[in-house]
Amino acid sequence: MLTDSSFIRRLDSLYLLARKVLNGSLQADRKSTKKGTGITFADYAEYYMGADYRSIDWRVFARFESLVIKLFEVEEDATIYVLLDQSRSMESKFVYARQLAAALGYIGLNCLDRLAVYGLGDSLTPILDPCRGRGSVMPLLKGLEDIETISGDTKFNNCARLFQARHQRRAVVIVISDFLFPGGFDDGLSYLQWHKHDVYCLRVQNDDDTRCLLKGDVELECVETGQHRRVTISPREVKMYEAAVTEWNAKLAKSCAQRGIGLASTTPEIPFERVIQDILRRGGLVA
Amino acid sequence: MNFGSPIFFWSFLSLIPLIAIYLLKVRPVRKPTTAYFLWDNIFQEKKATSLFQRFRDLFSLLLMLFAFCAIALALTRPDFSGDDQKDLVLLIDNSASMNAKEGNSTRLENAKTVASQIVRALNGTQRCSIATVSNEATYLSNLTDNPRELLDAISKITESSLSSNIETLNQFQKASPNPNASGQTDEGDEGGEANKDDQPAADSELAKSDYRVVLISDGLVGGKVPDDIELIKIGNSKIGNAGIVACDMLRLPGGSNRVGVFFQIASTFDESVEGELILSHDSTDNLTKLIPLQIEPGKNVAEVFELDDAPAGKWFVQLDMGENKDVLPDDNIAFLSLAKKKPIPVSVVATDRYFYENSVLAFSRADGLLQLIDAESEAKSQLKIGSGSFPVANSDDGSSTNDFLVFQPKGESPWWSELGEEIEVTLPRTLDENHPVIRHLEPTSIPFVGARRLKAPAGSEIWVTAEDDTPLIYRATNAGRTAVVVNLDPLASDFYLSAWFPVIVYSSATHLAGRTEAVHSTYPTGRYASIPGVKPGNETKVDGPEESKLVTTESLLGPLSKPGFYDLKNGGGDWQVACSLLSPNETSINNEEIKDTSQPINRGFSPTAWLTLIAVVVLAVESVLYQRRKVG
Repeated sequence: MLTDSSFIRRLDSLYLLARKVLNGSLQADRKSTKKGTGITFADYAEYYMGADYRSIDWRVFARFESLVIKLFEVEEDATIYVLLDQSRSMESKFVYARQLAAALGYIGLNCLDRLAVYGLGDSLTPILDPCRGRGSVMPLLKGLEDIETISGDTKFNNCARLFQARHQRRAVVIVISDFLFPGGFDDGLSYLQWHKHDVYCLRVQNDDDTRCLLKGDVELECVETGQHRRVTISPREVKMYEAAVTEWNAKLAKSCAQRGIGLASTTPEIPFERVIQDILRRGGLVA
Repeated sequence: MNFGSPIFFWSFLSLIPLIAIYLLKVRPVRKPTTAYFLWDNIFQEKKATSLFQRFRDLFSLLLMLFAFCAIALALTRPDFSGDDQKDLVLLIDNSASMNAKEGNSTRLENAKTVASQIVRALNGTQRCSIATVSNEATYLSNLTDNPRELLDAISKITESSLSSNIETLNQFQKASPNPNASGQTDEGDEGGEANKDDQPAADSELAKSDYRVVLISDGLVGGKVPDDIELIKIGNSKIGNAGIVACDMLRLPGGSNRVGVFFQIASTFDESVEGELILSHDSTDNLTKLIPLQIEPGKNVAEVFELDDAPAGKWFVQLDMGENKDVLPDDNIAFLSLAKKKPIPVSVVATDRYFYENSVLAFSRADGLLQLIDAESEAKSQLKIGSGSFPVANSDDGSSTNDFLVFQPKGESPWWSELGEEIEVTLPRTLDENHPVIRHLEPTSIPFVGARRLKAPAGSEIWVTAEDDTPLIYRATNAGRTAVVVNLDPLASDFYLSAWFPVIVYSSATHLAGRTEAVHSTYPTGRYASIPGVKPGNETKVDGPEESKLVTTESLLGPLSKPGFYDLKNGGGDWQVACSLLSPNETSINNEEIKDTSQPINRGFSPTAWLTLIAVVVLAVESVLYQRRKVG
């Protein structure tokens, strides 16, 4: 249960690790590429009319007799959107995926970032409306706990468009899914990236996804759409399937690498804390 | 088409439940998958086999139906050939002509293959017996339904150089109540002995049963195959062969080593071909004479040539056909033995030597078989001729004389007893007119004047007696020495002047020396050769071709089955006998005009076996498909 105190304690320990790693403050801990007033030096710029003269670097002026102003990184609150695959294909790893979403959301809320959680299916389903602050932790956890998988194909591209329509502000978008989208993922990722979102993919697949344990005559049924067909699975088909999954995953990895999108892969067998820790140790949600 | 067990047609009813089971729709287990679209792609690529996938259940049903039908049909024991499935007597011709090579195998190998096929086709209730026929019949297998035993018997059949004899086949005519009563069993091995023991039972069973006699042969059996015997003809191609069908070598009068060689060639080639006759001495490499030949189709005219200086020993006459392909090598060589001159030394111990000596000389001038030796060399004589009380020397007196021809018995002698008064013989009786000693005589025309009553020693062989059974001409044996006694007074009866006098001297001398029958230069295979120099009860050691050795006490050697030389050794000395194929029948190898007279007969594996095999294969295929479907 996501609202259990034991689970929340696990989230707390993750947050402490996040604080230590990210070296955050009371202000929103999310670094921004915007330059402005802050305390962390970012760059120099030539003085221009109207610029704050307090930011003129007089030492440089004394040495070079030119007016330059110091620029500082703006420390602003970030907006984090978690897009959680809610399709039936996630059924076997849904608890795990929700734990991951909860952990990331918990850290975000505790860092005073804005957070919104959506379910991905044939359309975008709100799970947690945009909110901020630690007070939203329980609604987050409750919302994640209450959701179930929904039938129908995961239309990631469609969901990406819907998401963009609702949230045009630049944000961090974390997609938690098995990425086994019949319609593909390229368009959706492109769409999100084109709108300047920092996209991060967290791929969750288990053995049932990557390996074929079926043999002989079976009636294959799509867990999302209910489509089915009678097939005979011989070792040849097993090999072909496993090769197809490997190729599909490689294609995702290549697509992410081309776009500068971060990608992490995990399986439900790996404790979610370890996945979060690995992400944090790599410096956060970066490509 | 016949069915052995038509009742098993009911087993076709098993197809009904089979079809019912297959028509039941068995739904495979539904398995959810998260990447259905990937599976979709995979099976899109396999569209080529989708038709098979769609109809594979039907295909399985058809396979199972086929297998069940095959099994059901096998149970009915079908017969497609029309074989009446009687018991069989398989006669396999292994005469010399069966050694002819046609293609890559000989006729005998082909015959064995056919015999094996027939044995394999036995339906389990049929019985069969295997025998080989050439100049004699040899049973190799008792009447049995055990295919293994029969196949073993077939595998034991080996090629021979014997010629065919139609009389052998006549023994198998059905008119004879016992088809193998006169057939000789293979007594050479243990199996042969066993067969001999079992044969009476087999004979009686065969006699009772309705059986078929099937001869597997090239048909060259020395005559027409009896109507009761079906002929499965082996070999049908017109093949060329030439061979020596007659050959002889004889010493000619007028020279010490002058010999005449006679030979005759036969050919089955369509046209005249060239060849060479090679005569060699001691070994085939020691060429003595080479005669170019123009060999005409059919039997060629016999030819004779002379050799002025031909030493005694082994002679080889080879026919070299050069580039002409000759299919039967056995008839391309004849082995000839030119015997050393070995006269019988004869001495005369009588007061009236003149007549005796001239009787010996009378024949020695012709063939030199008798050699008169003078009185000084008497001890070296092999035969002594004389009259009266013939002194018989002891065996340890240094004399080599063992044989005696005694006329006019007088006094005491081991060759007679109870010598009495003269008797009058009016009509002598001949007890064994074919005996070599008297077969050239007319005892009734001999005046047995001066014959005396006497008693022949026990064990004597009496050939002519007086009316009162007094022995007139007989052979007596004593202490390893033998004498022919002629009970008459040659002088009183004018027998010295009779033509029978030298005849009886010559025939007695050759008989006592064991030289009655002349040794021919060669004997055709399958014949018997007389063993020279052998006396009753004495052993002869025989060293034959291919290192065959034996010891015999018989006076005849044979039947000679292997061409080559036989070296003999006995008390009479060392001798040599040669054997060659020399058979016009075997050499005339074409059998185009001979017709196959066999009735329908099953060959190879029976339809039942084939159907069962097909069913097993089909079931194996179906089980593989099933495993693939159900287990992957």
